[in-house]
Amino acid sequence: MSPAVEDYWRVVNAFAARMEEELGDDLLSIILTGSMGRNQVVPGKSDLLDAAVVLRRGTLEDRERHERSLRVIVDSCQLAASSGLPFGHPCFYWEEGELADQDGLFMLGTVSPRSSRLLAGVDIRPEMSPGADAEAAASCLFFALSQRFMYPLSVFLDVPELPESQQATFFQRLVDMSKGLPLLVCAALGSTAEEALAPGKVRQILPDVDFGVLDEILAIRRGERPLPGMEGLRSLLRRALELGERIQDEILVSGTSPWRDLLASPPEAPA
Amino acid sequence: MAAELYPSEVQIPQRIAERVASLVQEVRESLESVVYYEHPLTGCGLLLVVPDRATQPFPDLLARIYRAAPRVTLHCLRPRELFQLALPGYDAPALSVDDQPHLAYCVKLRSALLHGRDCRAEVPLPARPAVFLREHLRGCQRYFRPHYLKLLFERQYRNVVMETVREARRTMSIALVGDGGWQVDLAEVPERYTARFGGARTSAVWRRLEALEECREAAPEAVEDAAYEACWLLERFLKLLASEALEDPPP
Repeated sequence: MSPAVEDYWRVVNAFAARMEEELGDDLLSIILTGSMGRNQVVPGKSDLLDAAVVLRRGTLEDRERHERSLRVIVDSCQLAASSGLPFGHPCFYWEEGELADQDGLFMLGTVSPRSSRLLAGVDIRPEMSPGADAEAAASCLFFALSQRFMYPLSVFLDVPELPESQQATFFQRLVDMSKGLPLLVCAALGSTAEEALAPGKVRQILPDVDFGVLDEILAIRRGERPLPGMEGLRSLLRRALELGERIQDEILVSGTSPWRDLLASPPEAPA
Repeated sequence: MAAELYPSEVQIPQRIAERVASLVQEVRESLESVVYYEHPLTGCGLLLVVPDRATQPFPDLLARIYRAAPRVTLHCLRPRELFQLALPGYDAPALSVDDQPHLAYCVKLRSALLHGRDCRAEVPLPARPAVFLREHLRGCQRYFRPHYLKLLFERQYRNVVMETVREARRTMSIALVGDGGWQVDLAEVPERYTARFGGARTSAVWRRLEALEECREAAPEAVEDAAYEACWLLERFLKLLASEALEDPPP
């Protein structure tokens, strides 16, 4: 039987209850992020445990408290993983003292009430802030996405046919890229936005760029359109690569990108 | 400039030289430059420079390049994008090793030109190398912690120990970006790190962590204990390193 959204909540609530019971005062907070935090679970596809666990200040200093906390987290994650729901990774965890030095993009999704929700303990979201240079570093991630994830996919343009399982993997790579791209483009142009708002914001910033291919990929993922065959997948990839090239050009002519501060001699915008 | 000293010292593996030769044959008209570089974190990589205005659609050019290129880290850029080599990348320790720290230094100073024009002088250096360490430390919190949690619940205790030791070495290397870290291979990094920053407490934690590697031969319960201790030591180590390399570095 395919899972329902309620199954996700049952498992996540059991995870939180166990953490609260076993960790006691050392647990400060649990915040849900990802699709559960945004209330956009796609049952059977969304990852189960996008959760940020925050431990009380000093827990990481003390060897005994640290080990006890890790053992409780590991056991609780095992319980969640045994539910059979998609379990990509265990939870994230932080210590209280680290909240004011956060990863620029992750923080946006974690602090926003639209993209996260308090699952247990104290609401620590107002205390989270980006660390030094975090926004400038986040503005470089679009370049990394291109080099490390998009360009290597180009080899599929020459592949005439793939077994169904590999087509699914190929499509998943397109989905990952489509989910992250608006967020990273906004950051690269100095206009950071949380994941839920980034697709709209990127269209405002770059009104002449056609982002339709991303919508098509995500509609297929939601099951609103059938998964295309190999030719259709290649066509989506080609359009995504062309979109990436267009965006690179837009970023280069933008004078407001935070990554410019990280270079001793920033490039001049091309004529 | 040190770059002039290096070409004779950089050894290009035969398999890479051969693949690059066929790559050049395949896309000669669209390849302005190929630079091979050595890198302390990833071993080596290639910078492939394509023209600002290619004669064929960009996706097709990429497909031809990625199909023919050797299986090493590739950076395929247009001349006006070379500045990207000096910027932070996607530093997600445990998911993959990011070569952006040290990259601009390696391309400029620890490299050899394999084809086309020499574009290395056009690669800028980072203005604030400490940004790489800050990002790496945040990456350790966000990515390495869930990674060791996963290894712990899969009971891969030996791997926890090995990977935490490796991660501590990589972090020391990244702390040396801007201090000649590009020329220090991982085996020599602890010594160079201590010489540069000299923290006695950090060194003591590092030695204890490194000593845990001996647990390979120990009984299963002892290996499990060592894995949990390694996670704690890594956290201590990263905190101490951040304080001496970022907050209060020696002049």
